[in-house]
Amino acid sequence: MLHIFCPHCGELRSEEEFHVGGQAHIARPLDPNACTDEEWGEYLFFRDNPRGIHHELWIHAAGCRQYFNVTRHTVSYEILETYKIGERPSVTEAIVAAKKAADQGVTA
Amino acid sequence: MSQVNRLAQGGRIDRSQPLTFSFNGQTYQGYAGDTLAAALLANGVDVVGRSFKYSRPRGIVAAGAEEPNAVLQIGSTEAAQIPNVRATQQALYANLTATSTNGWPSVNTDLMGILGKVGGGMMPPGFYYKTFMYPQNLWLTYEKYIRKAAGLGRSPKENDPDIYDYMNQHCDVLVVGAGPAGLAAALAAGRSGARVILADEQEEFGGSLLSTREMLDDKPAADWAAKAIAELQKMPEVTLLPRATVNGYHDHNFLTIHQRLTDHLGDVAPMGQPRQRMHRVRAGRVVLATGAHERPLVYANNDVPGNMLADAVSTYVRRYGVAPGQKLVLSTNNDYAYRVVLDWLDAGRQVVAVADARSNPRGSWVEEARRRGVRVLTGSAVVEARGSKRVTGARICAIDLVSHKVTSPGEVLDCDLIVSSGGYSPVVHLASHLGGRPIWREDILAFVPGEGFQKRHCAGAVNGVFGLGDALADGFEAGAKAAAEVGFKAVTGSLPKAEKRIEEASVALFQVPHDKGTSRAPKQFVDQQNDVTAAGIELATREGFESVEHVKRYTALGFGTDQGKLGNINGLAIAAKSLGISIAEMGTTCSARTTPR
Repeated sequence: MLHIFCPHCGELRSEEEFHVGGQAHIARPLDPNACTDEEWGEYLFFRDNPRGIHHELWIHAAGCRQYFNVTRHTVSYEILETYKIGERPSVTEAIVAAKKAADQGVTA
Repeated sequence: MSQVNRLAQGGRIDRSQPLTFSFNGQTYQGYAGDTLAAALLANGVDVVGRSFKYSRPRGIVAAGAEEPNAVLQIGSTEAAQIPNVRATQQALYANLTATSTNGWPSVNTDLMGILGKVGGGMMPPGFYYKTFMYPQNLWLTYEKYIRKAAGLGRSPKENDPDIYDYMNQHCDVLVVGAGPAGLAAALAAGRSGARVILADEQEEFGGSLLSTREMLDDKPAADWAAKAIAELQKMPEVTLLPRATVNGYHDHNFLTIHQRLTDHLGDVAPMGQPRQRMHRVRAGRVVLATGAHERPLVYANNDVPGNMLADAVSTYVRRYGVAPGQKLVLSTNNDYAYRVVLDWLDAGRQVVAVADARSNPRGSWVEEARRRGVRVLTGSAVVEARGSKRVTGARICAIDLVSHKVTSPGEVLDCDLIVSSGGYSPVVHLASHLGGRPIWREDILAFVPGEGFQKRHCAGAVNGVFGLGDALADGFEAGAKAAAEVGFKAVTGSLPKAEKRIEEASVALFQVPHDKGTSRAPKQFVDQQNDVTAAGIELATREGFESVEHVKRYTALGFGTDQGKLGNINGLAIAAKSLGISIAEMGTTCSARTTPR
């Protein structure tokens, strides 16, 4: 069972109190009527399923009842950070890859 | 009934408290502190059940969670019925009522057994599916009768009168297992001030310390265990959970512990008390000190009652004051097993011979056994057990490990107890729950836990650290490290000194060769609970099942309630050999649950 830090409550709580809300950072098209079927379908149904770092929306359903974002590793299930809606993640696949490359550059 | 196999003294039982119990309608007597298995052995009960497929008589093999045969039905009333309790894990209480779960009309005279004896050779793996295939619509009819012949215990028909509860807990360090490594880890973590939970499956804390003949600081190891437990009890932040099986390692260090609170007191829990409790624990760090199970050798007729694990016999002698026989033969490939020989001599019983697969064993225990007049046959092994409802003899032959052949006609020795040891298999189940594949180590011939994602440390025998002194040090270090990682200042402490000994490496021996070849030789059982033989595994690989998963499913290896604790590694080794690959290439599977119950 996951142990999730709620950025609103400021506490580590058990997964039982939360619900997952799917992939985070999906922008709704500003004018749906202007979308092609393909664009609208993409927005509605198509989600990433990465092996590695994934940004997700969670709600603290049995707590503060607010949404927030979680960066989770889909292999180890490790939660790398949680942050409020509107904020940008500080841990992303690109940042981790850049850091890894930098580390290897230093050691090489 | 007198307790024919009870020693005049010794053991951690309370002889002032005799307890009466019944098994298959017969009344027997044991003592407080016995397990049901110890009490049955003390009373000279050889046959406790019939095997799953061939209905062969089976006796007690082990002394702990790994027991494959002594799986009994317990309960004096309909509502109190509990199916499939391992007699080795059930504490004896007054008026305990136990019955075998199979065997008709009784375990001693079983009609199915005749079928198993006569038709045994005609019942390869997949027999039922291969035989009862046509016409297809009749399978349901066949199945009804096949199911009747198989099966273990039955569930109660009335409601359970007991209550069960659960509890949420948090701790800094959870230590799993209270053997030498676990106790040392708990001490190290506890002294740093961390909140510690120590959980152990057995009735008493101490694990192997309670039955080993080894000394710590020149005193019995059990004395040190008692001292350590007393110190832990005084620490306000330490919670001790005896009779508690850690049965699940979930994400983010969330573990579930199944504690049997009153199972040792009677059929029904005392008024107002819960019978069992599930602890849901969120731990900062986990120290896995789950220890290791001894691995039996696979030889012909190795399932006849009177074939036991070396370590188990030591435990019965030293912990329960029970010597399950008179004349012992040991078949081994390692030094540790020689302890049983010395324990058996101390108990005043006769050691007929030791068959050691190594060509020139010279370890300290080996030398001690020789000094005490034990006949040690090197480069040999017990190839075949004689007897039907109890061992009557053992055939020992010289064997060649490289060509896997018997090289001498051998001799048949009179004995009533054959103990075997093929080394130790670390209990890696919990460590594997969240990925972290076990890694085969050729130097100790065992799988050890691989790297995992979890914040955990493995310590002691589960890590392949088998020596007592080393296990203590490993445990202490792991405990201190775990506490330091969650922000407590690590403390140093002195550990008791273990004896210095010369130890020699073991040699790889899993299946003992037989002069007739595996498929023609008498049955060599790998998994006793599911009647899986070495020949069956070879057949599976011949029929094209090459992956370990397929071999497992075809033969039902490791599918019993013991989850292949004794048989899996031997089965892997046999499959790997017949495929001509190494055990590391073969890989292993892991049971999700350490001790299903």
